[in-house]
Amino acid sequence: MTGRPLAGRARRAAPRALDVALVLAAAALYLAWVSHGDLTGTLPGGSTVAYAVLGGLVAALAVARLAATGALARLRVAARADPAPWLLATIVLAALALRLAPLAPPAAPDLARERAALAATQHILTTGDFTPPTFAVPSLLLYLQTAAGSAAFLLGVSAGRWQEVGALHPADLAASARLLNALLGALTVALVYVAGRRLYGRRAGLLAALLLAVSPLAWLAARAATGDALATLAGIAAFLVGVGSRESAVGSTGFRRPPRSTTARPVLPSAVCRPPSAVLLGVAAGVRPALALLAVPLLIVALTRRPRPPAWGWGLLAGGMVVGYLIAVPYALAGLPGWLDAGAAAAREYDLRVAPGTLGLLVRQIPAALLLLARQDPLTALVGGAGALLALARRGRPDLLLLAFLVPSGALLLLHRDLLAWQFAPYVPFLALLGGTALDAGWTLLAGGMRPRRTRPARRPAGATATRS
Amino acid sequence: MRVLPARQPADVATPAPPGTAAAAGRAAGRDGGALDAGVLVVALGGLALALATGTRALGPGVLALYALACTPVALAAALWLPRLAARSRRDWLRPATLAAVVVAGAALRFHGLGFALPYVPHPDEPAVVNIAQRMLATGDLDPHRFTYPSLYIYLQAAVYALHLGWGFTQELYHSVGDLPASTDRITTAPGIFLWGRALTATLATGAILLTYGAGRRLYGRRVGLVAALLLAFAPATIADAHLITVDVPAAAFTALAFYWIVALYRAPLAPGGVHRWWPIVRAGIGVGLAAATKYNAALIVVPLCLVPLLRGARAPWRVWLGGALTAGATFLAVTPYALPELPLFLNDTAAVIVHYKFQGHGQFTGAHNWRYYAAFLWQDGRWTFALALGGLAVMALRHRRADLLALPFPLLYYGALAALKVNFTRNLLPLDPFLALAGAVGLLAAADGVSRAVGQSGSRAVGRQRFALLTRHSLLVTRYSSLVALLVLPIALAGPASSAGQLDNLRATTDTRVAAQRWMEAHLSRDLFWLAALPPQAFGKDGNIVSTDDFGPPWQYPPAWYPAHGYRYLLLDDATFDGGATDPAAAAWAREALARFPVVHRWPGGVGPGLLLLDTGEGAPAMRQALDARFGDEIALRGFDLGPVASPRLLYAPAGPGAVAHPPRPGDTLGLTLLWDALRPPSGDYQLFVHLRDAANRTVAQRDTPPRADDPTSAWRPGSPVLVNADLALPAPLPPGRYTVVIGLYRPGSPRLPARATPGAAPLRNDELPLATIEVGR
Repeated sequence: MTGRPLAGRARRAAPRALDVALVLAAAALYLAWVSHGDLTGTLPGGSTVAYAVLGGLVAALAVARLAATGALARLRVAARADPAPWLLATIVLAALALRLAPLAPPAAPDLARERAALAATQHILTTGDFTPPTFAVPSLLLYLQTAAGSAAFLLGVSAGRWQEVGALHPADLAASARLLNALLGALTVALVYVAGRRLYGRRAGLLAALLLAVSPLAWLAARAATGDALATLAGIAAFLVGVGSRESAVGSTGFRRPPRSTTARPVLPSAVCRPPSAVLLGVAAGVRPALALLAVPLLIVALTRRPRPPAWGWGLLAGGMVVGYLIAVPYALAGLPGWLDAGAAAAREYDLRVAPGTLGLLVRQIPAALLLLARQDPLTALVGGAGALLALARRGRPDLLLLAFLVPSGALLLLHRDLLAWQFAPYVPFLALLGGTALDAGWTLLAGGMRPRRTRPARRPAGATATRS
Repeated sequence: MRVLPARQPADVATPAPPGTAAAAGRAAGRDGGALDAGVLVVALGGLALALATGTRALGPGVLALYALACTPVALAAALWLPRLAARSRRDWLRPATLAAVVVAGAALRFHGLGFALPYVPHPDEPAVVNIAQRMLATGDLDPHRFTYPSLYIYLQAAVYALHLGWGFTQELYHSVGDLPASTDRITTAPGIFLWGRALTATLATGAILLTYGAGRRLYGRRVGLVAALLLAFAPATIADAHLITVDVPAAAFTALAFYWIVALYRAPLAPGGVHRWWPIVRAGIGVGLAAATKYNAALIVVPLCLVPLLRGARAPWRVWLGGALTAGATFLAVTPYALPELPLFLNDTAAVIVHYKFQGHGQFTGAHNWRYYAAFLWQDGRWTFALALGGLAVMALRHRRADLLALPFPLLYYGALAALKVNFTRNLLPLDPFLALAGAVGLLAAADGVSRAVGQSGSRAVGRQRFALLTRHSLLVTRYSSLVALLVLPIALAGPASSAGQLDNLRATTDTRVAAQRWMEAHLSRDLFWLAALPPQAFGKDGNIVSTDDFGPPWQYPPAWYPAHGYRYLLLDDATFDGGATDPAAAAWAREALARFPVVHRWPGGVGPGLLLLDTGEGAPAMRQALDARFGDEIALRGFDLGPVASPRLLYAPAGPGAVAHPPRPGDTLGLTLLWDALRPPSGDYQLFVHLRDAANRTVAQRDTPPRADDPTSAWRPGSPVLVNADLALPAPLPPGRYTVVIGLYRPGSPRLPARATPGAAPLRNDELPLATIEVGR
């Protein structure tokens, strides 16, 4: 018997042996867990050491098993061939880690807004009355925080911390509410990648996601239990579903689904007519009324579409928006006076008078706003600004859609009497998208010379009508 | 994210060269119906064994004899029934086998369903029934309690509505108001419980079919069939299928959820490599229903989350998000008051957690529950538990994708239960379908292993070509795997079938309390009082029975007290007398009572507690007020007890021990006990009147009734004193003051019987006897 067949047999037997060892180690870990110290309590170091040793053993055996069967090599090859999912996962995890790390109380202005939201959530939890005590805080946020608070309460009961929901104080709900916001923030990063990929291509999407992940403004929005993270998510989701769709629901114009590709996705003008986009737009407006300006780019697209949506299609869209708004603020009608008062208070924060002075205020606020943005989030401000200039220069369809939202939103923001950093939060993803495309263009320039076609939006599919001459 | 390469889960069978071990193994899988035929025999044999077991456990020798008898029959059936079936045009063997398994399981789950009724021995049954009944009675669908989620309560309410409809046609009920407001220990509407338990038994039977379906889709028909058979004879499930509790329904809905999860796993993917929506929604609904039956069943969400990873489908978030949303929506749809009653919902759920995790529950509390539960499962069925453990080990060792789908729920669920302080074994019931599945996997894997070993050794012994010939033509070899399985199944199921049958048969017997009540009503005179260890609702309102619930423990008075106060019979709990009394005073009292009074009848413990009937002997009871008044020349009044009865529950207690020593107040019930004696057989059925007169001799309260509704005066005989309760309700607006109680006898339409205070005295005015003057306070 020679050594070679023996070695071959050993190679063949190794995965099987690792398999058995892995199962036995996992079984030992399970028994250690299920016996709750009965089996491991007498070991040196007790249960903790046993868990650590067995867990490490299971992990090591699992890795060895993957290596022995060649699964790790296959994963490596797959990652080299298409690194985007891995990069995205890394960015999202990093964003989540950044947002989870400081669960300590945020800065003072956010603390007051957070206190109001948490008090309202505690009121709902302890009374069961879902009528929001205030319309100043987005109702949807309160309901999401109530759900998170319920789960946190039951976990606290399991840990012996509480026995009755009446014992909860608003401060007890802070951790769960901030965790929720951190998750919303991480989800926003993922959505920005999707939006960027569809509008400008995969690399631009990744760069936009990276920009948002490290953006201090987005981080600030996602670490405090305020409505900013939800507004940011709702805004980008509504924009994505509205302009990033690939099919028309109204009119059935017979667009064929384009094949999957790694390049930029076409933006169809008919996409705005999809009821889900209208519902999401309503939700976004319910969360942050200023996000109703998302209707501007979507309407522009719809109006320039040929053929135009039928009249009932517009009705459907309006209905969808109302439904979306009522999803976000379900007690808007039942609590109409309070809702109107909250709206009046919000409107008073802006100078919306039709007067010459209004324009002057707008102009005067520009430097202050730019300074505030540059001070709070210099990177996003810089590359976002560059992206905006680039978008103005090339005026592709995605560029126009983004600008059609950002310009009126910026104008509205400038009319705010007391401009604060958190008010920029919902617009950061859009700036990140512009920044992503600017960085992508720069990358292209540096890496392969002038290849303007790569950064231009994708061609329209066959049958789509031109909207820009 | 795409974790594993997408593939259809069903392994595509590739032809193997004849004569190889693979060919032998595959041939074992296609056994031509041998396993079906054997399972048919084992199912029917198990059912016969269960029904023949009686009310006492069978010894191991008898069980071994059964296994010895059943195994050859099953093997013979495995060899011959498929041939018989092959001759007919239709494939009847497979449906007949499944039907036999389901029928056997259903028979065991429905047999003895009405046990103990009208008594309700399990304290958790009223916890569900009372809420469902209240929903029907008030129309308020809010359960106002979330110790359990609401699905099963609503299902019960729906069944009660059907029962009410049926009851209206049968004149059992005249309105919804006939339903008892609440039930505790005994019910006045046993039909409600019978129908409610039938729902549980139906769900438990459905779980057999669902386990079969899940096993068939995941591992093939043979595993599904054996799993269904093992579940059909699972003693713990059978025992709890007779109860209106949430555990068996939770097991059934968990099985449903798993069935739909397996369906999702097996469903073909959409063209983009993603899961289709409808299977996702269906699986989410299953998870929501399971969680809405019992909270801990929500762990079934884990296999749902694993499905896209195991299938290697694109966009796993569709399953996670869609499944979570659907499950949540379903939970809220069937527990709709969880949101409007959010604080109550959270507090009740928290109370459950605190109870299970921190407080404990008396004797059902343990620190080593992982061993406790394992010991229980071992006792429940040693062979079947061993098979399940073997199956779990096989699944873990080979860890195919199907195994990875089936393993997490039982492992996590068991671990979660073991972490708690309370160790109710019924919480294990949602595991039963999974343990049955694992048992089937273990048994058939072992059988296939044996088959393969025989194939290999046969191939070596006779040569590949010859062995191929044998494999093709020999029944013995092609069906070897199934035959090996059939050697084990009768042995494995003998114990569970016997213990399940024993409990069923015991439950089919009459409850001891019902038997005692019937016997006493048929054989004993009602002249004097009976003290009975039965709830007051057991006897009619006009009875002469005093319940120990109202009276208190019998050892509060010495045994001699009872005959002196008109208690002729004492029906007491056997545990007081057989050394089971923990109170030394009770034990001493029991010894003295047994020495003094003869035992008339004994009902050994069964479904109900053991009962003992003592006769305190003949003799007139002593009243606090002795008299010898005469009514005509037929009836004498020997004495009376008078006192206020503070609580309506004491209405039927004699004034002696139960009376409260305070002056009667308006609204009280005045307790009046009269001791009558017939001087000669009365000539007619007289009415007794009791009047309450004020100072101006105006009647302010009265009652006119036969002295004893169940014992007319015409039936009274000299020498048999008759005790009569003639309690009088005092009007609520009665002014304070002195009032006189007067009584008399009359026949409707005739003058009153002449009344005399003593035998030789002059007749009293108006032929009525003033008994006593009472002071009514405020």
